[in-house]
Amino acid sequence: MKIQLLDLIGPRCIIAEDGQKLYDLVFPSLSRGEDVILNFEGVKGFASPFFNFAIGQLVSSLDISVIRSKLHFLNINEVGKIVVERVLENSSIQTTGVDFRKIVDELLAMQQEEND
Amino acid sequence: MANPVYTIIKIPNINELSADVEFIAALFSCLKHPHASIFYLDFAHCKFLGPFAVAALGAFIRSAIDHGKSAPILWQTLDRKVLSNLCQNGFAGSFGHTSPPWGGNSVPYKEYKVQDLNSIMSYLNDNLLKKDWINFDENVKEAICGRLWEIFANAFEHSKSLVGVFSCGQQYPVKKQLVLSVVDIGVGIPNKVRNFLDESPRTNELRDHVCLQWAFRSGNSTAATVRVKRGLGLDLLREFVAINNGSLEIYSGKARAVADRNGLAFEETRTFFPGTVVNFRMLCDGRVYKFASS
Repeated sequence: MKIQLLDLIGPRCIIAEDGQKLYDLVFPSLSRGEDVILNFEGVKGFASPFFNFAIGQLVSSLDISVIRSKLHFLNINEVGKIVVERVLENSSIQTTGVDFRKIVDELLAMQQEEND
Repeated sequence: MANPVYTIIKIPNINELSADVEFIAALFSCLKHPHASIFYLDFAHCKFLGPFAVAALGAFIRSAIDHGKSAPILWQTLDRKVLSNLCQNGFAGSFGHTSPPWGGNSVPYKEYKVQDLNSIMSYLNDNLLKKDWINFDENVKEAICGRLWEIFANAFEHSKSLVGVFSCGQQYPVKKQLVLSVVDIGVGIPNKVRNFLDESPRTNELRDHVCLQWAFRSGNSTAATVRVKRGLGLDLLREFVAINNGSLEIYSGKARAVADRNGLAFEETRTFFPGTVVNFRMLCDGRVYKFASS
């Protein structure tokens, strides 16, 4: 599958809703093990909300090694590559079973240290 | 019918962000007064209004109206230079003054009730990163705008502001700096974080600046779900200002965060700001901007 982002989204891959649109297109192909080529020619704007939904969301259902081997980014500039990589790294961190009490206890401990 | 109770608010001459935020926070607390319904804004003692003050005053006036009150500007009290600046950036025109805006060193005062991507990106591209001020290529401009978009995206998504999001900026040619202030009047970051962590019974013991610190950690987000990890926006911005010698100053609730090349610092403030202020400062001295630390 080949997708021209300029045609699908426009020159700015920035908002979450557009990211969801891309996710809905690529997920079925990737889950069948097919290669997906995303061509960013003409795209100049990149922001994390778009990529969180477009590709970060893939990590919840597919193995990261599948995503890295089957999802290809063409003609994406350095800034876009940085955002993609940060999103993939962030999404790979496990978040199931978040222990809110532990988080709050850690923050309270940090707060107590400030008071001491 | 009882006569409306009015108050005259004397806007002082302040040119330092933390003092500005304190004053504006106190201003917003006046809105809670059950009997006062008209707040006249008197600028007789004001010789300078920075971009944060302009954005925040706009937010205050709209909030007053939203509360069924009013905050009329006493135009005749304005210093000539201050009035000229307010006309230039469009603030005056937004509140009934007849003078239309014009170019110059101001970045226009804007109010956004909804997240309008094209309008905001056009604002950032054409007004903030003007060709006359900064000479870099389109890709770099778009890259910076992409970073700045994160400020607006956060404001729209998280604030639940009834009156929208307000912005204003300024170019300082001598200092070779650009400043953009974005203000929302809403839930505030600390309250959002507490609501998110609400499963713990001790959440209410968390102080605002500790909540803000949690929000800044890469990957933390009150909007994240199991399917979609979020929480990169603030960190990407922090990284950008750190490696390009800019700064990011955020006030929310009783918390303040400052990010610059020296790192990230958090503190508790004396007053409570009912929403979030993001003050972004970058150098425009002909440097080559970087987008990731090597």
